[in-house]
Amino acid sequence: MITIERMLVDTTEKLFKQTCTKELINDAENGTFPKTFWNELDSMGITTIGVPEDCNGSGFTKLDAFAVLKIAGSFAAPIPLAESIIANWQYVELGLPLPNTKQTISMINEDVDLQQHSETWIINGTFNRVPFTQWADDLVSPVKTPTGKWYLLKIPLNLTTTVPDSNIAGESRNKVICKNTSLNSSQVIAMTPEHAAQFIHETLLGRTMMMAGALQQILTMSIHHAKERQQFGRPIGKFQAIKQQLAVLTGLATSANVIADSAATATVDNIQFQNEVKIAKTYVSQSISKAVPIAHQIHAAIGFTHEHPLHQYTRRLWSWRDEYGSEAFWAKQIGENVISSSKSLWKQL
Amino acid sequence: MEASLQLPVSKASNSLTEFRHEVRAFIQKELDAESFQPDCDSWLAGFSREWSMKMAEKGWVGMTFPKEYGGQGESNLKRYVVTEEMLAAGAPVAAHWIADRQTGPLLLKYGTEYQKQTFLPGICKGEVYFSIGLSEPNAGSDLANIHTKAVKESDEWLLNGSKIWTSGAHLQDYMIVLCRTEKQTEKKHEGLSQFIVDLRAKGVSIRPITLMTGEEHFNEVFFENVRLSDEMIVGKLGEGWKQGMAELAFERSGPERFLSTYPLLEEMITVLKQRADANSTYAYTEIGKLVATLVTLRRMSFSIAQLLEEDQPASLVASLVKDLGNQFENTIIETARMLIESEPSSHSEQKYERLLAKAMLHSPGFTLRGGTTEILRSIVGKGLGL
Ligand SMILES: Cc1cc2nc3c(=O)[nH]c(=O)nc-3n(C[C@H](O)[C@H](O)[C@H](O)COP(=O)(O)OP(=O)(O)OC[C@H]3O[C@@H](n4cnc5c(N)ncnc54)[C@H](O)[C@@H]3O)c2cc1C
Repeated sequence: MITIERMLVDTTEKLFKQTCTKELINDAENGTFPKTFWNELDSMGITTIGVPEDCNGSGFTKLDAFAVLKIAGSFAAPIPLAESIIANWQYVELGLPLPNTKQTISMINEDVDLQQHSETWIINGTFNRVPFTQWADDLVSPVKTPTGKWYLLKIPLNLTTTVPDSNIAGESRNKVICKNTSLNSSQVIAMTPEHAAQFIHETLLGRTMMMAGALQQILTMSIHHAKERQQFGRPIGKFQAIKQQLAVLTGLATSANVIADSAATATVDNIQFQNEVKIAKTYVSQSISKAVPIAHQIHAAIGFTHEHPLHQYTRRLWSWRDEYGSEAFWAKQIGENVISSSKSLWKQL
Repeated sequence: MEASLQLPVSKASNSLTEFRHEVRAFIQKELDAESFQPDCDSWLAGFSREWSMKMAEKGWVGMTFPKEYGGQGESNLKRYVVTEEMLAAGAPVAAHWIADRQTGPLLLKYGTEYQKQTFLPGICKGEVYFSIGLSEPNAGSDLANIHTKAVKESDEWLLNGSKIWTSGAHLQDYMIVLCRTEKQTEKKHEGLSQFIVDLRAKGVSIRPITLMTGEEHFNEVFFENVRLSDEMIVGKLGEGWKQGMAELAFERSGPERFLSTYPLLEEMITVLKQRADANSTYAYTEIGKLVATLVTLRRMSFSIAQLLEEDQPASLVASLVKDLGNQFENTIIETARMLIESEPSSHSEQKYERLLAKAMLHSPGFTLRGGTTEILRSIVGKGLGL
């Protein structure tokens, strides 16, 4: 059996529970960076989980990091935690020192042009829907050149122009424009296609873990509400219609967590990891279109208010399910692979 | 099949179709002049005094009310056409929606001559707006559990208590308040009465409740010794429950129960038309399924408008329209996500992404307002004799 570090999970959970409050989330959505919270996570080493201690990380494994990201999702944490952790992994894996600045990442960059002029590189192009750029110092992104070579770019955000936008959870998702941005050779690092693919799938899995956590949370809230709210002289959870819905929601949240955990432990080889991550992102994203309406239906009018915290999770779930490709996007790839293979489906599994 | 489930097949007459063209021409002119931005859920969120007055000038607010009260004496079918066209265009019709749909017909059926003369002309001018005062903190699905009460003191009534989730009360003029006028007994539905309450009267205070979207839409409304005269009682004392339930067929069968996200569907098709990869079998199939459902729901809702025009009972089939219609509203959102790779965003440069965000953020309300899906389904069960 593959195990995660129980102590780490427990202390992290405790910190989130105490600190990542409804108010903190509201403030973050209104533009205030939760600095104290972030610094606390940083000092506990949460932002460098999965980076070996001899590289100045806090040790543990990537699996532990994904477990922490699930906790972050289950508290709707409005911080670039997944982005920072994943960026830090890339640095270390490419033999670079860990930066002590804040990082964000992007993997959506179709038309980025790289030109090398001896020691400097000139970058032109646009990165779309980049998380939390206003709270980060650098943007880290794998970029493929027309000749098929991959590079990891570390772009200081102060050299770029950003156009603000946000997802419907009030998390910034800005457009970052590079116009003749000049980088030095320590900011443009050659990487293998395998490494780039790994980056992309770790990013996907990060979101998936967060969704799995948030799904657990809306299930917990719904069960609680069904026990507390009374109508017709009894808790609404006593009505068959509500029991049935809660049973469906429980199935969705549980299965989503199974596949997310399974993807996080699929470390046998790259290919297996990538396949499992795509399946997890597809399944978890897909489950949200059924799960969120159930949670809202059980809460009814109170859950439609800003005061009740339910929306902090459901708006995130609605946003995250489409980030880095919705279930439609990934299911199409899975389907295409299956159909174009010469093997039967069963033998492909 | 149960007789109450047999719906007549109703087809629009030529004159009705001509009228529809007139409404469309009006909307097109306004769209060209950019006097409104098409939006989802516009009958709930699109509050515009100007727009309501513009429609009233055309005679399209309170159009079924008799001429002597400022209406046009037109049929429910014509009203159906107006509401459908307005919703499909995503026009801001929220201000007068409740007064036109519910309060007017209620007063015409049960109101006194004084009430009709006092309130109906203003409604028809698109200037006087009403809200629905039913729900209370402990009376949601269990509506009969309300505690707001009016007690007679000499020749006046004193209203005390509170209502919650009242759409638009912070912007509207009056509320039809359902309250207790007799002590609650085993028979919770008895001893309830309807009053017209001026929302600016002394003793009324209104606290907007912010929606999960950040918008202000519904409210908590408190009554503290609000003085009401006998003239403000609607219909018979103690008959409030029955009177209110009679209006539910109007409330539940209208096109607002399946067109709340229609502007997104229209925009989705516009985007698909522009995209080379749109002509996939998958897109055709999904759009085809939506169209088949939409046409069916329109036929059903129109048939009910016909039944209501003939004063026939339709509350069971009305519940079916609401349930099926709400499912359709949500299917549009999910289909949009499947066909066009994008992310919902309220501030996007793209209309499609803005409409998607609005539809999604408002979707939890669809299956709650006007009776939750669970309650509707139990009404259907009862109607089937289960
Ligand atoms: C956008 C919006 C606008 C609204 N506008 C108005 C308005 O203008 N005026 C007004 O008076 N009210 C308004 N409402 C309130 C609306 O009518 C109530 O939300 C609705 O009646 C449900 O009540 P509740 O929210 O208290 O949910 P609850 O009654 O607490 O229900 C919670 C859950 O339990 C289920 N449930 C309850 N009882 C049963 C049962 N016996 N069997 C099975 N399931 C059950 C419900 O279906 C729901 O899923 C509005 C609501 C919304 C969302």
